[in-house]
Amino acid sequence: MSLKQRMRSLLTGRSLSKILIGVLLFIIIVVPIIRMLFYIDGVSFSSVLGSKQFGKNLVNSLTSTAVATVISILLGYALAWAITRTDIKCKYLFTILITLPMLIPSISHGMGLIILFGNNGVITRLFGASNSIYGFWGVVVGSVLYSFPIAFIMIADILKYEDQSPYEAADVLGIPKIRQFTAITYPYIRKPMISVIFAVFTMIVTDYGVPLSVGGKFKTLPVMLYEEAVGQLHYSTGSVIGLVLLIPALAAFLFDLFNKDKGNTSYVQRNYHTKNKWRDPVGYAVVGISSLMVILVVFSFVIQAFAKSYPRDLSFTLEHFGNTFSKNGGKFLGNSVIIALLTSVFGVAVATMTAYLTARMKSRSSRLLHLMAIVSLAIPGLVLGLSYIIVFKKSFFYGTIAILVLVNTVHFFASPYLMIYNAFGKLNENLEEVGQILGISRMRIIFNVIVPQSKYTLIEMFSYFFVNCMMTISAVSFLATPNNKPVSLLINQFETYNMMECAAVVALLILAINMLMKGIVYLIKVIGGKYVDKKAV
Amino acid sequence: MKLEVINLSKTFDTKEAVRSVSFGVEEGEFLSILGPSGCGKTTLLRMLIGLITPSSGQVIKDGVDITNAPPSKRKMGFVFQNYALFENMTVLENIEYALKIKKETKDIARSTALDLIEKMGLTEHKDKKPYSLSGGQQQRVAIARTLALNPDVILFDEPMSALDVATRLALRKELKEIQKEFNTTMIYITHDQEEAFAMSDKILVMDTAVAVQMDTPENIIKHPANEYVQNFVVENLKIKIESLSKYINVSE
Repeated sequence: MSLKQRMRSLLTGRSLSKILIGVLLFIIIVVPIIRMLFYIDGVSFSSVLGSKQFGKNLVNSLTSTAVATVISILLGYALAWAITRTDIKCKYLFTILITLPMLIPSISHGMGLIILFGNNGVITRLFGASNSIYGFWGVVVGSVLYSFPIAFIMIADILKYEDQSPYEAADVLGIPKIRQFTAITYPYIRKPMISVIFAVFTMIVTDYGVPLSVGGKFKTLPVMLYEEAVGQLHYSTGSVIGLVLLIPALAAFLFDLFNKDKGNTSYVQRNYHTKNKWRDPVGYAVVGISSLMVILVVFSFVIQAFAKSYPRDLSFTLEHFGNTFSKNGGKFLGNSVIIALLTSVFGVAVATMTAYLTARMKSRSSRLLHLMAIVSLAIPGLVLGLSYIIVFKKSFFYGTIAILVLVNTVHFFASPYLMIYNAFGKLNENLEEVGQILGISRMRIIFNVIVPQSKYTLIEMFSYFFVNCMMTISAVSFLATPNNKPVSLLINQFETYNMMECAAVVALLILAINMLMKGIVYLIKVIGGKYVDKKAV
Repeated sequence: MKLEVINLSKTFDTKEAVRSVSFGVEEGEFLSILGPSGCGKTTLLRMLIGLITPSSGQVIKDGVDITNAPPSKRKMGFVFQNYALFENMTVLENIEYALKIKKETKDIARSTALDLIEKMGLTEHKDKKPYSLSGGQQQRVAIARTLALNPDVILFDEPMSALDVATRLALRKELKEIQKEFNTTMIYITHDQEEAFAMSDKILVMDTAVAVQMDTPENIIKHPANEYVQNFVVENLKIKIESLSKYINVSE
């Protein structure tokens, strides 16, 4: 092709749309991060990294995260085993209970712990224990509460797709169980499990909600970043810590990139199923205890929110709700819902367009676009928020709802993008060609054939954006002003003023709205017959 | 000559998929393109419909050069191996869709579709979604969808390779009947020697990227052009016949 022809083909529809989307993603995802990195100067770099405080917080971060990750993975594995490998009843109900913590902000888990185990905690009073929840173990327990549902979902996904036939063959050959584990199970779960460990570790190590609420004097790097950048506007110090927090997330991202779930795509000949007399009772115990833990935390919000003055007066009241709303709670709740809805619409639209270009208009540039679409996985919310404030602080954009919509879209972009990317990839590869031959335009094929066949995925994406926007406290904490503040940020504010009742009210409100969203999605699927006729998906 | 192909070639990057293939098809003829997997026959077929732009060469239909015409302007149909039906639409909607969205054919869309549904024996399935049909029924829907636009040449890309033997035999017969009824020219890709010989007026045998011989089935058996045709076609058929002749004696 001559240069002229090349230029012309670049400007035709398909390349042009790829370039436009590519540039958009580059500007909203990559540019702010690069800008943040340029904010770092040599002096602050060495002075921050060399400071005593940084060293201490780094050690705190690593130790509490390591312990919490181990517990979270073990618990997640036990739960995944109970749900996928036993015959316990009410699996659906248990799954809902176990994943409930994913609908509330991380900071509420810390708060739940304080309500339960703090000075006046429900359990502290019940057993007369001393207040030891602040500090290392508080952070560990809170982090586990916040992360184990993710570990559970990811591990259940691995176990669900394991094939039993190799184990049957091994049994026939008389190979001992322990050898079966090392020769069959271990090679199968190794890579996906490393991904899970990376993901959980990253999630915990970059969260500031839990350590901020129950850490007390035990500070971690995200808390330091939060205090320096949000509290004292020391952006360069924040940027240095942000750079450090990018490392684990980037490592996780690169690991996944080079080990694209090969273990999960294998064809399942037979689902795993064995029986012995201990299996189901152990299963019940595992899911029962975990569910109880979750219920206890939610219950702690309920009692704080509805009791007149816990622990002295337990009579029912709506006074704290009134109080929360009088402190602008209603306005901020409105902000949250508007931000969540706008992000969902905008995010679904951009993710779907991008996935269409990468999954159904394959070319060399698709690969690059795909990478750009998933790279946001490697950016912790705090770091993203910091980079956005550095770029937009002085612009008209700052203080608007729009900037929160944009930062949330970027923050939560990768997962919904991957959902629709996979859904598009599974549709018949020749649909557009059929259109070409029958004289049906690509747009018609997209809107009359491809989108209708992906509608449940689109609904799931919408719900993912919505739920996460409602509960997020990371990126938005940098960009919120009294005008556009989402309600999740009130939790921290109320805690600071020791208004635990109002903080509990906010947590409950977020939980209720997110459960409503999940309920609506479930109803749409039931009415649409998704669960009746599975082939239609 | 209904369709004429002159020195058609396609090179992907450095890989030569089709090298200078020439042949012609008369109106109403059934031509099979026979060759092993990966020999370039699908690339050839895709160039005929216009889904792939040839690197060089020409495609002439009814005396007009259509080498660079868009697929929908060629009055040709194409049936995919994997049916490529619109899973969110019923059988009826699949067949009438292309007619319905065009002004000129909007009014006759429903009646044309119902007519084809009857001819293809799909009446009781017309309101079902494709996924609840058998493979054979789905392929009938795909053929009906193609016929709805009344093409005078239909191209088939191994349309039966995913079907069981009984369905294949039934569909073979139906295809021949459709061809007679609509007087359509058909070009049919297959790697199955027996299928090619059972259906075709002429067969084009392909080796990697090149056309080796084109003739009637009879002449190919009698005068194979080279050793490759002898081995890939004649010997293969012989083996099939020999393995069965122990049990069935057809000549008696």
